[in-house]
Amino acid sequence: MSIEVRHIVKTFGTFKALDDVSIRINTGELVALLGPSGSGKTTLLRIIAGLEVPDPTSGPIFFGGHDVGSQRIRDRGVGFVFQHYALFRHMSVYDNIAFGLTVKPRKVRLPKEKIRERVMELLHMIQLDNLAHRYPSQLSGGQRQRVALARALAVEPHVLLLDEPFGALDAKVRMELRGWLRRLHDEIHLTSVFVTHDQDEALELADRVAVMNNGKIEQFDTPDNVFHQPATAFVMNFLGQVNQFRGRMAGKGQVRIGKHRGRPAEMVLSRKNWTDDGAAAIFVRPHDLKIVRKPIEGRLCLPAKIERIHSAGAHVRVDLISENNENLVAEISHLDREQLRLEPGDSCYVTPTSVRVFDLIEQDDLVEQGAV
Amino acid sequence: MTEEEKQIIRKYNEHRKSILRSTTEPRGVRILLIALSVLFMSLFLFVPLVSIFYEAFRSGAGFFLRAVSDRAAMSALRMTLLATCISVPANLVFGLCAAWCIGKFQFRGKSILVSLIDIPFAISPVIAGLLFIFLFGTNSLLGIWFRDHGYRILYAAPSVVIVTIFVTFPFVVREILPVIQAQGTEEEQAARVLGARGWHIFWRVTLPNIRWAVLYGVILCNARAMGEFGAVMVVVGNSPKTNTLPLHINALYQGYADPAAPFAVATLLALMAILTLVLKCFVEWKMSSAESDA
Repeated sequence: MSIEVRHIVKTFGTFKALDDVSIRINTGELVALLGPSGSGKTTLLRIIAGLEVPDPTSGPIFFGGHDVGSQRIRDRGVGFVFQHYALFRHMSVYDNIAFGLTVKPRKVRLPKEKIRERVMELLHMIQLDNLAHRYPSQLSGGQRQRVALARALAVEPHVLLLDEPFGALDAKVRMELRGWLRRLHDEIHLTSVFVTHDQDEALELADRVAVMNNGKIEQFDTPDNVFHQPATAFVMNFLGQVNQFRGRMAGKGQVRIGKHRGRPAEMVLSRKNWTDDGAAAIFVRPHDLKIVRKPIEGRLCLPAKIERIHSAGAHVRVDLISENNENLVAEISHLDREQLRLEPGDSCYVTPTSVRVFDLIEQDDLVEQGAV
Repeated sequence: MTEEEKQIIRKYNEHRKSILRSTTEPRGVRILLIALSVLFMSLFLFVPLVSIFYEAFRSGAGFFLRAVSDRAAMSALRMTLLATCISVPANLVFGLCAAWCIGKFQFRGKSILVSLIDIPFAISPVIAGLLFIFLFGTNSLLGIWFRDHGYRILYAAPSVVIVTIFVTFPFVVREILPVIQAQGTEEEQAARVLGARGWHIFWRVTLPNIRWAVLYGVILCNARAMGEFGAVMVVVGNSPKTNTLPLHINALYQGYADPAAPFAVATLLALMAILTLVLKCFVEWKMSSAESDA
């Protein structure tokens, strides 16, 4: 069932948690709401569920084309998985999963044997067949998480909403559950929305990612597109590490970064539709920053000094400091590092192979953030 | 055992001792502290309790039975049970409602309500009694209304019940509230999303989670309701018809009855108190095991 919200506003006192948010999620999609804390992602999820009421000026909420804004939670048909699971602590795993089925009005309630069958099926699905009589306190974090999911699925919801589903788990269990949830979604094709602040989780798991900031959706697109074609400076900054330079746009597709030997360093970019002579923020991903020993003719090369080299990993991460005292990070291959014979304290040049430039006049918030 | 092994064990024991030395008080201090508390407990708690029973049975079991089964004693027991049986359930219902709405919802005037709940704790029972004398007295509107409609409040059973409710009012709320606040509302929200209605949520999710706190509050409330003296004394004076057990014991003690009689009746109250104490210990033990489960 598709989900659509239009022009949702939510204020808590004087704090605007959601500022005119609209989003449309297609049937069977797995969508991530990604953002830093306080960006409004959990509030949006809770409003979709009906656990929070949007401000009266807000637009409607549609489930499969029906306006559910005035419907009670229990009539919306949502499955909700809470961040800290919220399992009923005095009930066994079996009773937790069966709860949604046993509280239905007598007329529509399944007979006891049917409930038993359904619970057993779900227990099998979450691979906890033999723990039916345990209590939540006797389970590990990962097991609790799966019980919470089975409990939400027991009532056969139209949409599944998950609030930071892996937030409270350790790294290894997280990875396992992530894969498990993706496979489960591919099997049952339930429209699902999950909230996370972990970009890896969002990019790996979701069909589409909504990046949120300050109560607004900055970009809603596929993981590939939000990562490679970030729509705003915030998205660029939030997804993955990034080097940021201050500069000026000089017209004719040129941008100036800092100063090199007294003269402004310039480079020519393909993007031409910007305002001339405005302040600009130039972003370069660490893997797009190349390290060279000597400046290359016709390319923008900025002198820098190597501070530290982290070589424990698939790539070598090099921390540098530029002439203007900006901290830079470059990611190079082990082979490159050997060929260049880089050591901490060495002087070298960095040259960007791919950059993204954002207009600082339109992106007021960026001025505050400074160099990364 | 080889010499080497023996040495290892000796070293281990020495190490253990040094750890014990650095983390506990010297033996003498420990003994002194324990002895002091045992002495204090026996002087102030155990000896008086035993002496009540001793005094009660000094004139023989026959006298004891007569003293506790005479009409005045029986009437006092009935009055105490009446006051307890009404005030405890009333405060249970009130306590659950108040703790539920304070713990689970946000509303204006919440902090005022919380401090109002503590009033019976803060003021002396005698003042509480006087308060009701003013409220239901012959010159007050409420007093006149009740008199005109043929109800007797003061110097009768209703006033005993009312002041007992007033005095024992905070016990249940005060026990439940912290537990409810610590548990938050996530489980209730989960139940709501799963389709449960308000009543269901209360019975199947909230109540089971706070059941031991509720019982603990009820026991404390019960203990206080049985033992209340000052407030009841003010509203009913000292008439054999409306005496509760504490008042009856006082009357016997002040009067010319056999000196063993008040002690005999006091054993009834003491026995009820001991029973309450045993229940309280059991509930405390249950609560702590429920906590360590969670």
